[in-house]
Amino acid sequence: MLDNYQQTENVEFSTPTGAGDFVALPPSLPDKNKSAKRWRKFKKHATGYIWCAPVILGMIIFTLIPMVLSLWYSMHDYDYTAFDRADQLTNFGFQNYIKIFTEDFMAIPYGTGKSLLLTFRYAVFSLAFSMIGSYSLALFMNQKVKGMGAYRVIYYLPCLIPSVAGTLLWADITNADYGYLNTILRALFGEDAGLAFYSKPESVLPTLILTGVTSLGGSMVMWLAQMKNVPEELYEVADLDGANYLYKTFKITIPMTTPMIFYQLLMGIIGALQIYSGIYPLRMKYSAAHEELYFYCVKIYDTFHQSHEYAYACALSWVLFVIIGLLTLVVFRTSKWVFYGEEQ
Amino acid sequence: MKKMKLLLALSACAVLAFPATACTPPVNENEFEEGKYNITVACQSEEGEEAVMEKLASSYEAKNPDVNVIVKNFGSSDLDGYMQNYAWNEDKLANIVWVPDDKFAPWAAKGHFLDLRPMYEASKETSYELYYESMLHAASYTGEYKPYSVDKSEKHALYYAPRDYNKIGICYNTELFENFGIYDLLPEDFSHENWNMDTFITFLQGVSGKIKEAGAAYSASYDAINFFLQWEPVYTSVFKEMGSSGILDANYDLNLKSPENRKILSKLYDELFSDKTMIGTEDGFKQGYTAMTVCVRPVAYTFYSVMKGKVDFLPFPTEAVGAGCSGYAITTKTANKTQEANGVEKTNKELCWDFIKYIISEEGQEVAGEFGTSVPILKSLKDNGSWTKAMDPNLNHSAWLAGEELRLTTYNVFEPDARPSLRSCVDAIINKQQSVDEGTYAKMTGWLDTYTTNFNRVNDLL
Amino acid sequence: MAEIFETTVATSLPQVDENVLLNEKLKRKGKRRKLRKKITSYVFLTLFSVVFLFPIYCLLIRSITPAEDALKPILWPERISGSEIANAYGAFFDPYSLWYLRNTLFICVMKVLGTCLISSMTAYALAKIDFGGRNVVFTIIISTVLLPSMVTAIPLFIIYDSIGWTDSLYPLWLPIWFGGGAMNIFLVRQFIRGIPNSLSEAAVLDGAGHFRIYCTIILPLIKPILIYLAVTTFNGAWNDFEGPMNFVANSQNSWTLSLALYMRVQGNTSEATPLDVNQQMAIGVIMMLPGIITFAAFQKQLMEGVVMTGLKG
Repeated sequence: MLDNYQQTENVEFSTPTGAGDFVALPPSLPDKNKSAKRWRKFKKHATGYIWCAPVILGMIIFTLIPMVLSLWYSMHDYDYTAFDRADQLTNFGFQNYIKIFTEDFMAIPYGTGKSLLLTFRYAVFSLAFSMIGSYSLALFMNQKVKGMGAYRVIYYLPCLIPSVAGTLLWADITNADYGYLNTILRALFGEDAGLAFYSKPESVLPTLILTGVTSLGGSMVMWLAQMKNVPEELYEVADLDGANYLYKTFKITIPMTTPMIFYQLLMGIIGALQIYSGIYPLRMKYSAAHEELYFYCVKIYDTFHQSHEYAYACALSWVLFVIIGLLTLVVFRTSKWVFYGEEQ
Repeated sequence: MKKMKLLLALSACAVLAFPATACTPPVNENEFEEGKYNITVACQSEEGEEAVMEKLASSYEAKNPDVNVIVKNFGSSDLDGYMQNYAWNEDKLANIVWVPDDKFAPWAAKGHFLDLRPMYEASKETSYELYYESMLHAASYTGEYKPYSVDKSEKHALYYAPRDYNKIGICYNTELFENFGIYDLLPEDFSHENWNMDTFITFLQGVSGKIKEAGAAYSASYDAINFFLQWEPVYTSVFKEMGSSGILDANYDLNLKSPENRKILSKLYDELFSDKTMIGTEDGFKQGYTAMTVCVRPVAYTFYSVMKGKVDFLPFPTEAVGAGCSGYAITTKTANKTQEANGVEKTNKELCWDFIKYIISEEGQEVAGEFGTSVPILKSLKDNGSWTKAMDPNLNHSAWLAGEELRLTTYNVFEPDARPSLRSCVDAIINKQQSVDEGTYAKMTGWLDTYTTNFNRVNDLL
Repeated sequence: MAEIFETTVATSLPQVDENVLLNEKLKRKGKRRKLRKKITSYVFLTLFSVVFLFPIYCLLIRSITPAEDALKPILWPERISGSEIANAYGAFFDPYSLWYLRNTLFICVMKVLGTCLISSMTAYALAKIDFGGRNVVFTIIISTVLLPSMVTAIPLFIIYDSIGWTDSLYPLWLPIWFGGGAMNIFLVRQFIRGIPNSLSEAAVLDGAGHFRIYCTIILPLIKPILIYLAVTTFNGAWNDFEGPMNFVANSQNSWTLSLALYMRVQGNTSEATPLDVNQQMAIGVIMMLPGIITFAAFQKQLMEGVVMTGLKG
């Protein structure tokens, strides 16, 4: 008998329809046997776990075990040419972690310190640009104009370009000599107006962030969906009170979309700190970009695949994990500004 | 629901597309053959290595019908990647591994490759005088080999059998030379008076001038040469010619910041690298935008195929030219296993050495030379043989002729494990020095000191 | 008193007239302002569309430009020749490309099936079956989102290497059949929570087990979110570059289209000829097609799914 359906009062997240969680208990049969009751209870829990078994198993095999292995590797020295497998890991201790923060920190040209600095700089600027840019775009698109659907599709299209082809394309477009952007600039403003996009180290990061302008469409779609959820009555009340556009935006739209802002912020931080594979073609093509785009995950990947220092790469990735964990904690702790709405 | 039907239709399309694409995979797995001796050879797939190995394998099998040679490639990785995948998997590890001279040392030092000296000295057909000595030295990870009878220590062992003598040369794009009129700038002959570093720099400046004459559109995207200064043979040859003693000093510290080296670097910068039209890339050469590139013969073969024959060669302008080699090593872990065919049991060591002996004999060298990827290791084939007619007999094959030998010793003084970081440090320095802003003498003082000091501090060696 | 009345009546009439005139003036002004607003909106919209369509324009143009002219600083190809275009787009159809296409399709289909099945089953269990530690399991699943992929990617590569999976396609789709994706589970769970229990109560009275309920009642109801999952997983797997680069880059037999494009540009393949610029761009154009088709066909479901992702507390 199905007695797994029960009422519960822990509603963690708001549901759209507010429907109850579980079905009320079916009329209970008179239970004479205590062991039968215990068996039923066990079956109830077991069924749940059996349904979740693939995911739980997967988490153990594909997440937990690799994490433990990674930690184990990071505490040793890895000799990548050892003759026997058993000799590969030697010297148990924290030397890798110490090396990250002392010796390799100031190493030139590809040190940990510079790498972290570049990654943080990129994360801050690209996140600010992307969130503010796509949010403003969504605000702008949130009007009732005819043909808005077609415009939305057009704005979303650049997100569909595959990442490798996209990076190669942008590397070509922003080439200082023959790229389309410089050709247009030169045609409009004269021969000297060309900008050195990836050719000079100083302008590499701004160029990288600028080329993300076309992927604003993806986040814009998300913001639009959220803004459509804001109840119309709020705007009408504000209109009656004589509010102008800025007031409506700052007092209604933004607070009502704070859950999404929080989510995007969190995901954005985690994602931006881990960027590496999308910029490989750029690093290959431009020598100035080779040094300036040496992000932290690029360092991890290079340490792993080029220098074959597995243990050091594992240590680097654990440091990244700790950093991301701390940042996430900070974001959660300071999330008082998130407004959950009347359902909560 | 209509959308559901649409989704199902699309996924059915995707699934049905399978049979249409079920064609042959890129890499065919060769099979073992019963009743024969099976040797597996692993080599890289680029630069025609795999192709030339297949040729050698088939001609060897024609002579020895009881042997089956299986050729595998490294995939998209290099020697390090291949060994990482297979070095501890004795069932799948190849018997013979192709190794280049700049990557074999860490593996050889730990014992993955067999010392080949006893086998060399076992027969007169493979005595050391037949081969170029600098290549034999390169095959030892300390940079100096000594015969087994003289010194049995592994420091002077030969860890692979060198099979070619690849000195650097210049490969140029004949079409661009014609279009820009660069042929007029070449000297009549390439003797050392007419063709040395000074005249070469003048020549390059002339080339850059010709490109600029052609117009703004051309000088924007076309370049003169891919100089590749960060490669060991190139900088060793150039620095030695221009009067420095090398990039290391007596204490084996990196010495790129010494006054004489700094003078050379800034001279190269002032006269070559500061010109935007001067330095191109290898990719640019393949796509036809860089007029020349410094390379070795195996890579020149690739250029010949990629650019449909519109290439030719020039010798490198220094008197003593650095040369490297690659060769074939026998893996220790599979060497002592035995195989049986037709009732006769042989060890893998014997079988592999027989094949390698064939490769470095005249017959094998002629087969490889005909293909065009390498200059033979045998002194007897120095200026004759099939390699001088490979690809196209009218090409300037004399550019690759072995001349005054220059032993490359920069890496060999460091422990094998330290060599990758040395390579990346020199790479970074020379890359930066070639960049238009950073190479100026004023800026070079600062970062050159920092880079060098940092490297020497981190790598306190010997 | 009458005088006051008269005067007040007399003075009120002109005001009414003025009001009417004022109203009409305001209406016209309002209309003009609205029209001006509309025009500015359209102007900005078109301006932005130019910016957003620019990369796609470049992609198409560069795939048509003949290879020799690719590095010239021009905006429009000087000459368009049919044979060059055929050469560019034909690069996609060489025999190895079809093998990579097969790999990519296989992975996409397996990932879609795995995601839909596993995440919906797990979400049903987490939403509808009350078992001990339910919330703990859910929190753990959600917290895996915070894990940087590098921490697990490195040891996983070592593990796959020692098992010998790096020359097969398993590392790319098998983890999905054991994971389903944390955000996907969250999404479907939200959706299932919205299904009232009255529907399943009837089935319970009929004596149906959980599995019956899942198949007959829940699955049909969560079709919209399943479509969203299928489309996003397919697009993600089609364009996926990090996964293949991490795990199967060493074995050419298990490359996917994105990885093959990157490798062919780098020149790391056994074919001697690297790709020309117009061939690279042409392959990019072709690879964009499934994304465009699925986006155009399933726009509504995608929007609904996006709304769901925002309802996180």
